[in-house]
Amino acid sequence: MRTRNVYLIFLGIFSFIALGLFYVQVIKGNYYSRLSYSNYIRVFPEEGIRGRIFDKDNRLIADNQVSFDCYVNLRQADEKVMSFLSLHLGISRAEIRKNIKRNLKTRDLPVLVYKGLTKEKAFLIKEHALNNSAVIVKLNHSRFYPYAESTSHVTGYLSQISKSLITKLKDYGYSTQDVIGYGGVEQAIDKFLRSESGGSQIQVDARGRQIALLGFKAAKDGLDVKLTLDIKMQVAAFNALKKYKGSIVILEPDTGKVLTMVSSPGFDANILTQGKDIQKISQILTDKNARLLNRAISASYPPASTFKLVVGTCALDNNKISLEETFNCTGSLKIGNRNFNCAGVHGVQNLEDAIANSCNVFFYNLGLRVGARAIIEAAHRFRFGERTGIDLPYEVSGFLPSLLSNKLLFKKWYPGDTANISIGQGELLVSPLQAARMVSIFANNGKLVKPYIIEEILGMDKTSPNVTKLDFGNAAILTVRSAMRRAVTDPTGTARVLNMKNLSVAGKTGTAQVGSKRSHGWIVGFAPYDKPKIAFCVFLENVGSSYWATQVAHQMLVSFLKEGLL
Amino acid sequence: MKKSLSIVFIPVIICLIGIFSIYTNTYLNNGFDSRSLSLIEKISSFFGTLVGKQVIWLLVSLSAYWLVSLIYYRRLYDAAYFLYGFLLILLIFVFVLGIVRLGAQRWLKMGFLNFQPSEFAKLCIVLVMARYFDYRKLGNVQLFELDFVNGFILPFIIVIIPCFLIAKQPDLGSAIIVFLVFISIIYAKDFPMKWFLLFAGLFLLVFPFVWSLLEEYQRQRLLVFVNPNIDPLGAGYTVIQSKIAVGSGGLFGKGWLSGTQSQLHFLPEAHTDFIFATWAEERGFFGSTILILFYALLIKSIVDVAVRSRDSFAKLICIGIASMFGFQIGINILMTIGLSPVVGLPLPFMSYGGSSLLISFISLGIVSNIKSNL
Repeated sequence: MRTRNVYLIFLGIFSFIALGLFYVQVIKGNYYSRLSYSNYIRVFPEEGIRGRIFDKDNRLIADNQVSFDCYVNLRQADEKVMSFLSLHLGISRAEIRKNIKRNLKTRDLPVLVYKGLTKEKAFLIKEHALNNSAVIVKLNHSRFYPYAESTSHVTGYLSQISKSLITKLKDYGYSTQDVIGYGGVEQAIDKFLRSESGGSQIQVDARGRQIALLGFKAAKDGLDVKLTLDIKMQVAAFNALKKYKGSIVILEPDTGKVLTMVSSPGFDANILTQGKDIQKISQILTDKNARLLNRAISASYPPASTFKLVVGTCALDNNKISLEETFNCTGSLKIGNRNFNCAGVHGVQNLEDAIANSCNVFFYNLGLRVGARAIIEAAHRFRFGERTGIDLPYEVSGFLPSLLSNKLLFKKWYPGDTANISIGQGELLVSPLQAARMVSIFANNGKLVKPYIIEEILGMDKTSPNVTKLDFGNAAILTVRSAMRRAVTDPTGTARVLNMKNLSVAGKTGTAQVGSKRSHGWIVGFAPYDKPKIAFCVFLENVGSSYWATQVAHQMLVSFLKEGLL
Repeated sequence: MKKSLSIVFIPVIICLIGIFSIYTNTYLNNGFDSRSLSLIEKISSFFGTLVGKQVIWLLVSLSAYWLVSLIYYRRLYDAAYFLYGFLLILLIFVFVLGIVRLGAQRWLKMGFLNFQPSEFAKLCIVLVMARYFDYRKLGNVQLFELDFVNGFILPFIIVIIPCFLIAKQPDLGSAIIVFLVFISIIYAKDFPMKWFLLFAGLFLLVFPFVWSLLEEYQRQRLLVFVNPNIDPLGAGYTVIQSKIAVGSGGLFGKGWLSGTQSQLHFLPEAHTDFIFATWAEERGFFGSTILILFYALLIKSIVDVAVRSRDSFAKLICIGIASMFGFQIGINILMTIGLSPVVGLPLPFMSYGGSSLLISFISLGIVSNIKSNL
């Protein structure tokens, strides 16, 4: 009999078992430990609400709207559920799968498949999903910008954090699939606006019933923020501007508060934030006119004749010219072997006339007398060529030529270059915000302000205006200031469009030549003349002449008056 | 008396391990606070729990063991065919009851006790086969040789009838064990290898037929064994969860009452068929190795009796009982780590359940008597 063999057979079987156990428990032990951990621990995230954005009078610029979002429980989602979703959400199965793939964190939690259901649809789905726990309709808060295009450049928009950003921001508590502000205030103070998500860690049994609460962290809402913007001005300005490409910036002259900042063509931040209408989004992103570009701070242009204010102030301050002294304008001036033109034949002009009529010949002469070095030095004092330091992202510094760096680059500075810079042409580049700040100096009689747009992060410190005295003689500033008024009131003044019955405006136009394209149009100014409440800059890209800018400014000021904003 | 104790010592230890594991799986369930109860109430409520019932079954089984160990085993020679007839009656009764009640029937209600005839069948087939192959039947002819019909076909038919009835209950696991016991007895009885091959060929021929006889869920389980992930929430769920339980125990285990898989009921049948996973989760690789060592020692001590006995009938009984335990242990543990299909089989001495425990100790009683008559 094979009695002993029987024992050997079982010894073999038992050794095989021991080997199997060694493999499962020792070699793969960690793997199964993790699986058992994920079996009984569930994390239920809880989202806070993002801080809202108000204008200076507490009107909502960025709100949080209740949004019905559809989630699906992947563990229970079968073909029937998928076709149910496809039918009721009105999107194809492929699209549903794409959304699931994009939003998937873990298979244990419901995955977002559709954002922003209509109320009717939300109830319909919820009703049908009553006996199907695979489909969940959840109430979320979604960002809404009631003024859409008028405010979008200032507010920015929200979107899921990009891969390149996440590597940078990982250490600051951001994680993948976080929603983050792009551009404008949303980006500038994202860390204050963003909510801190919390959640509870729960021990569950096999049926998913809660056994114990292992940990809880309350979600923290973001901080509300108050801007310096006057939304009524903002909307009126945008309405005046929206036919053109360009931007309008309005500052409160004494403080540097940004009352208005619009850029055209605009875009609707709601479309980008919702992220649903792919066609419209790509239209915004690929527009030839660079819709996302905030032309007020992120682009710079030759300031043209508006720069004459700087040259004039500089000449007066350096005592290079008296108020009585005149130059005769014959329509052009020959410097070297080149003719430098004027917009007209102005005849005998003193400084005030030349500013009012924007006479180039006068300023060619004046510039040559004062010298490039002094002009550039004055432009430095007006803070051209450097960022204003406004609390918005993507500000550019513009460009101010420097004699020193020109020398280092072996570029010669010719008298013609001096003539050019005297009328704000050449290499000089200025952003509309810089131009607005420049004109606010004349509005407030010689004080330099630092523009800011965030008035207060509620629950934190208030921003206080940063005002410094500019070391120009008061007389020089006041002279140029009154000349600006004459540009409006003189029958020949370039800004005479703005000569309004019930508002005293002062201004300076500029027509910037840009190679082969049509000229840009500028108007900088302030109003009311005696006690300025606003300092404004209207800039239009490639419109041909400053006339159109004065038209836009006029339309804007008229609607300001109509709404009692001034 | 001392000799008989050595056989029963290890099984009792395994039983205690089993009772601790049953406690682990069930203690969360009795939600009441037992501190406020009087002693009598405490005792009575204890015996109402699964642990209490298992303790009672252990005591009953030990008494049965003691009684059986006093009966001269040769008496079983005479009783074997009578017991076989009794078994067939029981199985047919269960079978008919199953048809009448339109559902699975594994238990016979006998007063307050439920009895599983399929457990009895395992021991019964051991006895019947031991008698059938006892060569002394033909008057001590030492060189007696059975031909293929007498040595295989006939006993095969004897075994396959109860096997079929048990598989139809449906209790595939027990049917397989009964059949494997038959195989090991004919193997021990020097069954020629060429017959084995012939038999294997035959099995392959009839396999499609057997497959069609299986219940849908049994087929599903066998398919899931090949790949548990085809149905992770259905038939594959048990295997996946028990693998997680065993694996997450790691080297030293999660500790007493700390097995999350069993405590939170991720592991189905954690106190019956999958009780090994409970133990392995709490005690880790060390605990499970020790348990397997115990089982190995138990089987060795039974086979030792077979080796030392000079009575062919006694030898075959011991081999049959050893393989009855051995195959159940082997298949049960292998299925908890996904190396064998899930067929409903208790782990001897560990799993909750009276029938299995009682039959196991009665079997040990027989071995004990053989040992005392060496």
